[in-house]
Amino acid sequence: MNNWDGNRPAGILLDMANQSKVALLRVNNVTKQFPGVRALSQVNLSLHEAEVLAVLGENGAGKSTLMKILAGVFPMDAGRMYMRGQEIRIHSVEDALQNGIALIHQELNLASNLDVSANIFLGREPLRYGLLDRDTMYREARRFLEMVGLKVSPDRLVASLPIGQQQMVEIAKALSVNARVLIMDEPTSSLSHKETEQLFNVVNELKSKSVSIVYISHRLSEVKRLADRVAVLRDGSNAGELAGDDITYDNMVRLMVGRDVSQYYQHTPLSPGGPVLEVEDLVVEANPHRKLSFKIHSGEVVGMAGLVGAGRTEVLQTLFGVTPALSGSITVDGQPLECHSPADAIRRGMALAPEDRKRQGLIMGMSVRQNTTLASLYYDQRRGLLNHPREKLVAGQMMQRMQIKAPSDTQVVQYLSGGNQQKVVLGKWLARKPRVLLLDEPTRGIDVGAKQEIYRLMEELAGEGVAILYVSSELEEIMGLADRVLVVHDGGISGELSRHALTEESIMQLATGNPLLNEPQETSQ
Amino acid sequence: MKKVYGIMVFLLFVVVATALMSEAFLSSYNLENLVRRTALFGIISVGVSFVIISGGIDLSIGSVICLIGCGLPWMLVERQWPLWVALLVVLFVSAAIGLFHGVLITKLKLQPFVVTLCGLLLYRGLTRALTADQTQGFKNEFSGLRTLATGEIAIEHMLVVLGPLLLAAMLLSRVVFLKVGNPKIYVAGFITACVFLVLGLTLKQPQSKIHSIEQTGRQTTVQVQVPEGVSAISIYSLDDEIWKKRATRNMRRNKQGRITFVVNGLYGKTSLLAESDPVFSVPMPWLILFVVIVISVIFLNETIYGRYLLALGNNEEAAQYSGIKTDRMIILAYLICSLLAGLGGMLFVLDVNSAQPSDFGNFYELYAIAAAVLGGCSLRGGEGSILGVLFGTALMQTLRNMIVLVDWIPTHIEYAVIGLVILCGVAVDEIMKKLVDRKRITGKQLVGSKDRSSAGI
Repeated sequence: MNNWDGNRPAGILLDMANQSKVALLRVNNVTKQFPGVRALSQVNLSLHEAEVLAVLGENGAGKSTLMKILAGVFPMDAGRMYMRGQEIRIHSVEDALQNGIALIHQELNLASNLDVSANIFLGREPLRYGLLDRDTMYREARRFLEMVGLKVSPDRLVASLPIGQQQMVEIAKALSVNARVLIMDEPTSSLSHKETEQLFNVVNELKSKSVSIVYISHRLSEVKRLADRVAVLRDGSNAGELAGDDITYDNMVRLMVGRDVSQYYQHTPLSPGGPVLEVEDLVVEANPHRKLSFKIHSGEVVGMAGLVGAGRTEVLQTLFGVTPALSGSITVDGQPLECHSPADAIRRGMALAPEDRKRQGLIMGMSVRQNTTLASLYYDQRRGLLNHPREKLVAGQMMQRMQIKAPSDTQVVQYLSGGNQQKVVLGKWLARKPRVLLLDEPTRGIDVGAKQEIYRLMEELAGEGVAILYVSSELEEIMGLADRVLVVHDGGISGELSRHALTEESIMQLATGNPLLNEPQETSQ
Repeated sequence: MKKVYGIMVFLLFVVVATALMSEAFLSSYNLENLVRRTALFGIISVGVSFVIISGGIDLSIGSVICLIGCGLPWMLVERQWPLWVALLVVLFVSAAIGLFHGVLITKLKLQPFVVTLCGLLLYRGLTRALTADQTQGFKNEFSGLRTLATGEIAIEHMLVVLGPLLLAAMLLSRVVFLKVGNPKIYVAGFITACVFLVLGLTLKQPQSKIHSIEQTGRQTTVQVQVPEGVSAISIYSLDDEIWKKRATRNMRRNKQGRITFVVNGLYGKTSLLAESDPVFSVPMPWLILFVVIVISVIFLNETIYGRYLLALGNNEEAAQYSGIKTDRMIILAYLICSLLAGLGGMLFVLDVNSAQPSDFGNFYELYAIAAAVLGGCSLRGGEGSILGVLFGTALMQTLRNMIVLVDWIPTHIEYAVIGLVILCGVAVDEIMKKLVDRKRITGKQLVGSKDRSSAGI
């Protein structure tokens, strides 16, 4: 590697690094603001020719946002972009493609009802007399399929291909527009081991044809194998870069997690009371080969850590009765929960603030008041009629307790910021005075202030004896708030850590399926 | 709620415009007919609005109307079933159809469009098979039952009865429901009741009297003393209980303020009765619609189930996550829709007396859906007001009336006009929404910047 970037602050490093050689693609000081949250602030990134650059970061660190900006999916609020030293402006996906930047999404964007060639040339079909020129399409498609080493006929339906081959079709499609920069967002997340090996071969092949690749992955071992250079983002800013022999498991985790962020987590562990929620041999529909057993006590705050897709959300949804449990028992306050529907769970004092606030948590077209009281209407009814005075009272109490910032309780929740929306969801459950509070990514996409208020509330509720189980993909949040952490890997609980045994490394190891007290193999090289 | 005002203004505009363009529009005969049709269509429109609010659609209404409309006279006249059996069958069949739709849509997860489209074909086909495609009617029987649709009540009588009734209902609900309920409703109800009473008493027509009767040959000449302010009178024979003669607004009086009628047949003074016509008669279907609307408004806005329906129509998944048994509510919506379609079918056939299985109720579902959409229901679900639907129905029927009455509008463009009006209504609504949203967004940015400053640690 010509550029020895090491670990210096990103802003300085780029300018120095690029003195020796003009970068193929360079972005300076990119800032992106979403409603209620700053996704990227002053991020720099450079990519050289024939290079694999891995971009790392925790969930929500801003990787995907940055990639989408590069590929023209979102515009950036501020910042500049250069291609071989020339400033370029990208306003749309077309602009990006014209500059040779192609993004391969985590979820593939193929029309599975069309054949391979049609997908490769979608929107750019070769024509003859105004009709589709299939001969040319097939001939050209074959050429690009060869480049990615995919031996399938171009007239095969995409739906009939295994997922790994579909990925290759997507790459072939990117090559067909002469992409010089290929962005791969978690390309291996749904691939088998063999397919992953094939993908690596293609990546190396492309590199030798001087295509540059931006590679995003949570799997650090892959990154270590493939990447020439690693750029790490944290909380929407550059956290540092690694190159060559510095790319080690330890270094990557250290940069991703950081040290100085957790000053606003203040958790005072209480001596927990008796068990409130007891789960025994629970089998979740999504992962039928795993059995889960755990207990949560009154006043206890339990974190559930794990990688995205490990099956944490599914556990919460099964506990709450959204999806039926295949077998096992759930006990609340010593009474088994027999029937399974959210209504039953709510009756027994359970509450779930779901991961997807907008789809599952809120009635977006209804007011703060109507949302806050939705789960308690049944309990406050007067012979089927709405209890307006009580509704008003409860909504007012919740707005005050949660510090919901809205002009009035008749404000439609659609127009609130993410943080305030989440507070409305929590208010809905607090109005029910729950025994067990399940929180799925309670602070995703909301600003720091609202986050703190939600943490404060969790503390308060634990103090009142509520048993809290929360899922979070942010390590600091898990470390800062939990009395105890359940780590989920591949649908099962791979380990349990009590507060004094919590370290980022131990959580990460359990989350990636490595047994504890064993240094990961990668670092010992 | 703002939508309701919009459609009210639009309706008022169309009414005024039609009144200016056509003399006949304001005649009590025409108005009564218009109100009757509005009431009949209003019943089925309110029904479909429940389904639309739940986020679904019911295309089978016209065919349910056909099934019930042809089935009722078929059972009564052709099969000679007792009335109570026939009415029970009507109730049962309508309810069964709604349940059937609801269960298919919620439990089998079929699309409402497909289920009810198949219903549309199914029920019409069944009706035609059942009746061998023969026109069904009541002949001259069942005039008592038919008053449900054809009967009329003088407006002053209705208002005088309705006012105290409303007050009593409110007091009763206050006792039964323990002071719960939107206080605004009580205030509105009280004011309405008072207005009804006052209007009813002032609208009371002075009595007309028979002045003299002369029998000449086979005819009877009747002179009636008509007081000032009475615009129309009717003369009834007490023997055969049907009205014989009716004078209208532009009747001519002589110097003494009397009107002369010549009636076929010989009648004595004791067997004839002259009555001042009410300014306006309220058709019976309107009373039925009134009851339907009162119940619907209370259900949708004042019960937890109405709230559930609005919530799940807006976001079914979130409603489920809040512990609402959405399947039951959706089934209930289809049940209500089919029951009201059945009631509508019954009233439609009682009104016109005969029904042809091949075209009775054709397209009525589209009129109902159009009225619901005009009245502010969003086909995306979760939005809608019963009063809006009432005004939407009235608007549709007034437009049809206008096209028939105004000479220079060719009758054949009826559908085109209605189509255009609905399109304009929906487009204007959507544009207004966009404008409001844009305002909100600019407002929100201000709020957002405030948030940020307070969030800084």
